[in-house]
Amino acid sequence: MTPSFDTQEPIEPMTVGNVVNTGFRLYTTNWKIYLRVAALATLWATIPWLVLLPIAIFFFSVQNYFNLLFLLVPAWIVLLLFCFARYLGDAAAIARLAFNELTNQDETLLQARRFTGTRKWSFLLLNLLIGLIFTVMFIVLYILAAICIVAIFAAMGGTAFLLNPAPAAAVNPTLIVLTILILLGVILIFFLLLIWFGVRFAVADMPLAVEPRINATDAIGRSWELTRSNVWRIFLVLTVTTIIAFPLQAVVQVAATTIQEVLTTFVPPESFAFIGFTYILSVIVSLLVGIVLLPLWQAMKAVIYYDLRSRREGIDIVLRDLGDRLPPT
Amino acid sequence: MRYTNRFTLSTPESVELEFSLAGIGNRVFALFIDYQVLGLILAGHATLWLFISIQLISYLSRLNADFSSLPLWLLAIFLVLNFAIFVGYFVFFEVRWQGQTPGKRLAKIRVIRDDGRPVGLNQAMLRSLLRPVDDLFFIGLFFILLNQQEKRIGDWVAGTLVVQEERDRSKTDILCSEYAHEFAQDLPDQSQIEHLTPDDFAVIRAYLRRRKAMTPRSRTELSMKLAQQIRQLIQLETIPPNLNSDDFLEALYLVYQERSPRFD
Repeated sequence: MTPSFDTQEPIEPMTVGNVVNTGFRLYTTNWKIYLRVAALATLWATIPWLVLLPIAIFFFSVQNYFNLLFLLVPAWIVLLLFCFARYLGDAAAIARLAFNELTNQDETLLQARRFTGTRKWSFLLLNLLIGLIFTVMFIVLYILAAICIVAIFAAMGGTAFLLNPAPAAAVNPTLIVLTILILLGVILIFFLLLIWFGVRFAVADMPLAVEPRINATDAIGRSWELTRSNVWRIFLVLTVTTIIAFPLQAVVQVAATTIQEVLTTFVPPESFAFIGFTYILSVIVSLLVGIVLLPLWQAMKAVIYYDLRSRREGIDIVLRDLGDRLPPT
Repeated sequence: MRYTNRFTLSTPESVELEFSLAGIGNRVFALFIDYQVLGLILAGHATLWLFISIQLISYLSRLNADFSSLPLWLLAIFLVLNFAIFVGYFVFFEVRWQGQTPGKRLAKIRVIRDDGRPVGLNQAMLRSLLRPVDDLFFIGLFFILLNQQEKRIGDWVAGTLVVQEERDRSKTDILCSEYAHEFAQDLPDQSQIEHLTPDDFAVIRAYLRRRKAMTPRSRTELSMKLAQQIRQLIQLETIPPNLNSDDFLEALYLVYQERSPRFD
């Protein structure tokens, strides 16, 4: 028994920077596959809006048959939900592939897409649930913050000031500064709480993408359990990723602006064609940005989820090559 | 698959040193923290300067002196000082803390010279002076992403690398129960403990170190699983009835620690 502990990768959770590194590395080594799935997903997300275009043109030019709308609107909403579910399913496939790579599991793109595709309605339900939770949370926090602000304002003598406005010079300046600082503090706490809740639901779609036998509500519970006492670490990972994503986004934007500049030399900027083209270009640019950034976020989520599961559940603590070494029974 | 770029360095004594490069994540994280700290310092400086300026001007106006060109001078000195603080922050810390700034310390990374020596004043100065160039349009970020040694312009010019710190492995103590200590005495006689490899012990140690942060359910499951597998591996016949799986793993750890003192 000679100890040599530098042979294997250390069995340790990752630091903030290394989580980001790993997510980035996953993206750069698999960008072809990830971008293809991201493009497919984005295509699904655009279909409802593409369908909307001919409908709008039809009613705009015909100016009749408005009764049809009673049929078309529900049908369109169903289409929207279906396409959104497909989008979520494909986006989750990227996260699943990334997680598989981290845990050394082989799966083809087709298999991954099939797995997440069959759960598309769960993904939709999950997103609607989280949306609902967030709306309620926002309203509750907003009301609480409003009550706090009014109470503090009143306690600092604000109402008396409003009823009988004294000249500004007569009011104690430290009191004003103090009131403003406290109010800013309340607003800061409001945002911190929102972030805190946001992070606790941040990896909710990961269990649905990789774990067997799980539904949307369980997935929310899993995210809540895993993120516990890791909120600020995850927040930092997301912040750093946002900072790195920004220049990548800028590159696409700069390219689009250049095309536009070049175009002005050929087409007069006031013409209908130019305005139309600029609009289409801006749509294409935002779609491209979406396609490029989707895999980054999905890969990052997969790494965060993997890191959380290794911290909270020890999934990386495994004895190696066990099968070959067990004595025959 | 490796998730960090490695850099191997041959010293004149033909010893090979291998470093993990910091990577874009650690570097952006460190810079993010440093810019928060620096922002606070610069805000403090601006407040102080404003206060001094107001005092000075009110003093001079009481003397009825002509100070019409003074505000411009005050502004100019302020801007020069601001730049000095911006550059000086990184130089000061990188020289004093052997290639680390507060942000780098938090991110556990460090600047070194291409030959592995710690950075000196010259290197820190060059890196810091070229930082605004690297920040402009995120040029530095693209440089780091696009070359194997992850160097931004400042790193090329100064001849420096940013590497990850060696992990500090002796930070967490593993508390072992009384039962574990007792059982560790008998364990070598009762079982084939030689069947375990150093890697297996590293796994046991990892579990014991990290169990506190785990969810209770996962912790129990993992502990049971490891204990059962290892019991089979070392062909241990019977486990004392009052011993739980955590005690068993602690005992294994104690036995191994005794045999090879380097194993902390």
